[in-house]
Amino acid sequence: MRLLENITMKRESKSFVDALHAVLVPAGLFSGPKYVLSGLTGMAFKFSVHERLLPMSVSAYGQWGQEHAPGIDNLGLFTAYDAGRVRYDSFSNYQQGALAMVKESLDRGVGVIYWLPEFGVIHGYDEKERIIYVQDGWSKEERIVLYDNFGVNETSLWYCQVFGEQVEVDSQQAIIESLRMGLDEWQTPYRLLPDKSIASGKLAYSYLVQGLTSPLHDKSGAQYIINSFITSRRELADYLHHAESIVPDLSAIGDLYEQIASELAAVRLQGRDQEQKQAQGLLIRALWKAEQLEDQAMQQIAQLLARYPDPRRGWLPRWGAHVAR
Amino acid sequence: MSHMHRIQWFDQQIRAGTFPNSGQLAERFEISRRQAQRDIEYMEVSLRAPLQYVARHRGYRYEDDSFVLPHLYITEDENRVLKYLAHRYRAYNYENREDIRRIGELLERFTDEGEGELLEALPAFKVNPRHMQYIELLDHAIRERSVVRLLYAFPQQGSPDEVREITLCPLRLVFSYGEDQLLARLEGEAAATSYSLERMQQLEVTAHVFAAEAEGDSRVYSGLRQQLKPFQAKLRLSEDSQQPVIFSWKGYATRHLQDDVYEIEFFDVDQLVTQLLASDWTELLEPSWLQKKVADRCRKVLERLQGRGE
Repeated sequence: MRLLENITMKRESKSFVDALHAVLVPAGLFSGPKYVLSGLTGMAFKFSVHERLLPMSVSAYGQWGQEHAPGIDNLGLFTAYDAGRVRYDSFSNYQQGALAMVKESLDRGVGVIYWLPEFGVIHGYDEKERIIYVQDGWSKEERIVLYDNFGVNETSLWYCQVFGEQVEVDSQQAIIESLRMGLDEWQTPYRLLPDKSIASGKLAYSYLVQGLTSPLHDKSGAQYIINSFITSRRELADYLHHAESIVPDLSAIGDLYEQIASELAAVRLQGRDQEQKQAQGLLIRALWKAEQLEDQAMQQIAQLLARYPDPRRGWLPRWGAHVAR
Repeated sequence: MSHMHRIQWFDQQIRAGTFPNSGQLAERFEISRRQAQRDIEYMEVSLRAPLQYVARHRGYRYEDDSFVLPHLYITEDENRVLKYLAHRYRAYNYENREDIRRIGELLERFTDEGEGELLEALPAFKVNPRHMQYIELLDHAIRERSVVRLLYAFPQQGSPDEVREITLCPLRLVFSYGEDQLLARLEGEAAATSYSLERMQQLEVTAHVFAAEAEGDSRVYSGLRQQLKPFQAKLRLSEDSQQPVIFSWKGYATRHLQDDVYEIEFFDVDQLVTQLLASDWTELLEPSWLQKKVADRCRKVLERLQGRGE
């Protein structure tokens, strides 16, 4: 049996960031507050909304592997992940492989990110009982998952991610890169094409407003999306203020994000008030305002980025912007 | 169409004493006589039907009337899955799709005489361990007519849900407006109300039995054991309180191991821990993590009692 006692996940931010923070800090791979992690990995910029405002919108910000990789890269960390769908016959083989990867990581003393849903942390295993211990960040009690049930959950997806060693990344470069990720996030309307039921970035605002006015929308989902959005904008404000000592001119952008968060926090949906048309009208007005503010922030970010050369995106390979398959 | 319904027809004819033969079978189902003969051989050889040809009547009868056709191909679990799907499809009300409801009716026919191959074509459903556990427990309670006690979050206008304990006589499980619901009546009342499974927070099947309904809708609905494997616990049950525990203990699937030791299968850990705190048993032998969970729960309660809680 192996149990990493020093891992404690607490839900505050996006579940992936919470899990990442819980894994990296005890392993000595990251030190600092969660908002810095959320900012550096670009996760705080992510904002996606399903047209019916389902609660899954918050974690449906793209193909996880591709979405998480640049952020982890920005921390200079080695990472490996395995994921897929449970329905395939080959799943049991992948399950065995992933379990071996999880145990190897835990033996090294590093926790593993695991999709529950949402993201949680595997912090131990017991070979005799054939179980893994998982934290979801909400409850202090750990969840028990049988080896046989590894990856099987309410959704049809499974995902687990391990971390290895780290190289040093220049902190200014890292911050600039995180801003580039944010701009990219803002400018990409759909990250799950061909599916257009979930929008990201700027378009997500329109989806949120449209969703709120439709009678079909998921009420608890709407609340979750908005609360999570406020948290992430506040994280961005804190992150940008934190980073202004390294990259100048971030302070004004940080202020804009602070303003977005407080605009929305003032009118956020509470309990069953959401049925009241008036509260909804206020919220929609605040969302339009927030969209304008974020648009301004992004323009400022784009101006700032123009001053820094981008070695990664500065040249195009022969096959275009995508990786050759 | 499969040959099972032909065999079933043949079986019925024998029981009705009409002495059917391969010619009649072929004529009835518009198949070749050779095919009909193969069906009869299949019955005799593979299904071990005690068929006897009576030359005088030019047809078959059973030598031993106690013979019944086995339930072929389909295990009990598969049958439950099909029933569940039939139920879901029939209750499907989105966009008023008549054709989908017809699939439900079709599936239902298969639950009695269907084939396992059907399963491959069916869509995958979400698996929620707590729901499955509730459905299993409630299914058991409905069959045994046991009274259940549960904590239920009643929605309140303009304020958080109010959680109250209620005692219910469960009647049946239904699926409407996209969620699983329990149709039940409060103890001592006649009118039945529906309760959402989503809003149930704790569920306990009591030993108390309620009176049967007058008209009695006994349609049984079962959870979908799709991919999740259950946890297993070894439990020693106290001898004095031993009503015969054969297949289930408080609604949990149970297997007798030796003497008074039983293996209990469960999906939801919290639910079992709560059940363990509320019921009678002598020893929890395995697994060790469950022992720890129960101990932790007790310790927390003790701390709270002594005013040292968080």
